[in-house]
Amino acid sequence: MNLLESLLDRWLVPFMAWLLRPIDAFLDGLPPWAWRLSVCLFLVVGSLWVLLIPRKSIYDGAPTQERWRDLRIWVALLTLPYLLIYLWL
Amino acid sequence: MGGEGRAKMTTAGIHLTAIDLLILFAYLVGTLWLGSFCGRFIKSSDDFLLAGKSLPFWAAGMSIVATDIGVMDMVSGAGAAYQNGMAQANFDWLGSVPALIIVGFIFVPFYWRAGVSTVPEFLGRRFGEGVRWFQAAVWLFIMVVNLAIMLWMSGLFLGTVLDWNPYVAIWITVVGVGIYTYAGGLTAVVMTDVIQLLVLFVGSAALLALSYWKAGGAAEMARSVGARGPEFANHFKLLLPHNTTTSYPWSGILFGLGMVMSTSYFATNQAVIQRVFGTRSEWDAKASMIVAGGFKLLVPLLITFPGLTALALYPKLEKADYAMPTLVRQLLPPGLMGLIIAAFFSALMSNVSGYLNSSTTVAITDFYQPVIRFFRGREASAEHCLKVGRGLTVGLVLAAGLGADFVRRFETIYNLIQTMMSFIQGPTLALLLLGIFWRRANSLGALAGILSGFFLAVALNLVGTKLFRTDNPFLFVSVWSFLFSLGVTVAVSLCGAPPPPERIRGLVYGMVDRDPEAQALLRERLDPPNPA
Repeated sequence: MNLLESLLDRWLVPFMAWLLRPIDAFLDGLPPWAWRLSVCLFLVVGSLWVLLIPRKSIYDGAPTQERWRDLRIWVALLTLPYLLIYLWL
Repeated sequence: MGGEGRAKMTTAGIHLTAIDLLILFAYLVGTLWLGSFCGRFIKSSDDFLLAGKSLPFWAAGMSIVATDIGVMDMVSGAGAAYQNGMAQANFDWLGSVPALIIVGFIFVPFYWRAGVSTVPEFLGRRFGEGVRWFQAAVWLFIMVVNLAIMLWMSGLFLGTVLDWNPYVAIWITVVGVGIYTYAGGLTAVVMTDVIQLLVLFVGSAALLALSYWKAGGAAEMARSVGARGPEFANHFKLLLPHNTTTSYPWSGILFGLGMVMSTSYFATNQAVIQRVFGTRSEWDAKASMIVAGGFKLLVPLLITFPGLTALALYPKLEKADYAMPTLVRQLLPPGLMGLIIAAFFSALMSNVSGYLNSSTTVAITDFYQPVIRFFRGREASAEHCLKVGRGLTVGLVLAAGLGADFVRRFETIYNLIQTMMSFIQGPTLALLLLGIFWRRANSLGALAGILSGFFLAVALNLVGTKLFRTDNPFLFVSVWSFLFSLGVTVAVSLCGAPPPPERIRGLVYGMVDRDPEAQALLRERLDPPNPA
């Protein structure tokens, strides 16, 4: 285990440190509104891309084509409270 | 509040009144009856392992959440909120959405159309048996050891709270869960999960309401916690600075938890995804993930917020994990006490039954059936697999009950399993994404990618504090192992030959909807021709 750790200290740690330090410096400098904006953007983009899926694919396997079975509406309604939480808390 | 502030958890148990015992008894008998009733509809291994593909979206969605919350999640989740503050809620909020939506609308349709029962089976069809067996072996090991850990830790918790011998709590659970999982398979597990989730939510909501009222409301809580010193300044904030000394900086929560770990967890954890495989249609499968996202919204109210109220009411607990048991002991009146103990049993039973049924499915689908096919040259019959599945269920739950005593001797084993799960999540997500979206990814690339990502995660964990600012940098480790695995899979795949089109037809994006041959293959997979 000691040999493994010394090998990692010699090869992996310096390389990863070279990679991580500028990223750490950049992230340390971001103000709180930027954290909030990043998280909210992730929520919006990560969830609402579903709105671009064609209607036919959304209803695949659904027993009826009623409006309430449109899962795009479900996704929009689900995302809203999560977005409000990250905007306000 | 001064006297209560020094409350300590002792080993003296809670005194349950007759009404508490009646509620607990009614809950346990009702659960056993419902589970055994579902057994009437089991005729084949498909009925047993996949509920005959008949689950409605609401039941599958509620079961996903019930399986996800165990007693230890309730205890340690409240404890983490007591210690680290509201940032703990991110694990149920940003850790659920958008992951559930991404999994529901990207991964689930592919699993569904491939007609598979397990995630290793999907990876096996796409990348070959080597990747399948590595994934299946790792997940089976994790799930079986998790079963023993859940039983031991929950037995210990219930034993401490109720002053029972822990083994009594363990064997009540083993017998109860064993009976209904043996009899009713996934249908019983899911239907009891629905009841258990409702009991869990009602019991926990009662605890939250009482503790919130006792703490004097949100403003009073924030004032009393904030007055404890500068280290509590961020206790009511969801997003913490990148340079925080806790394990939850906003950057780790966004990139590690939100993008990699939660997506991988919901896409690959057999205990979660099995409910989706058991739904009656692709639409129900997708809808179940959205329903799960809706229930997940409420989970921090029932786990994280009680941890914060405990900090306001009892700020000098010996250990943060005593937050939830202390609230239960100090605040709940007779009747509600029975309900919350039933809620704890619910969390324990749904957690154990979910992992039990999923372990059986992986063992049958990824080990037993391929071995039978190899040695006998034909498929095992559905009736035979049902018998083996039921036998395995009994064997696994007994082994987990006996293994609980073994686990007790290794305090670090729980952390080891959690850490191991974080090692495998990044590389598995990389493999799934490339497998679905890049037809050039081949078997050798996948095997190299998953192994190299796994070993990088182990290495980063070993040197963690030299590179990262927290003692437990699992969020960042998952990101780097994901990226590394992605790079290695692409590089090795480009060095080798592309997989033959007939092998990946129907398994890669762009080769399903637009390809008539893939459509025919899909129809054949979903409705196999009658051999007669």
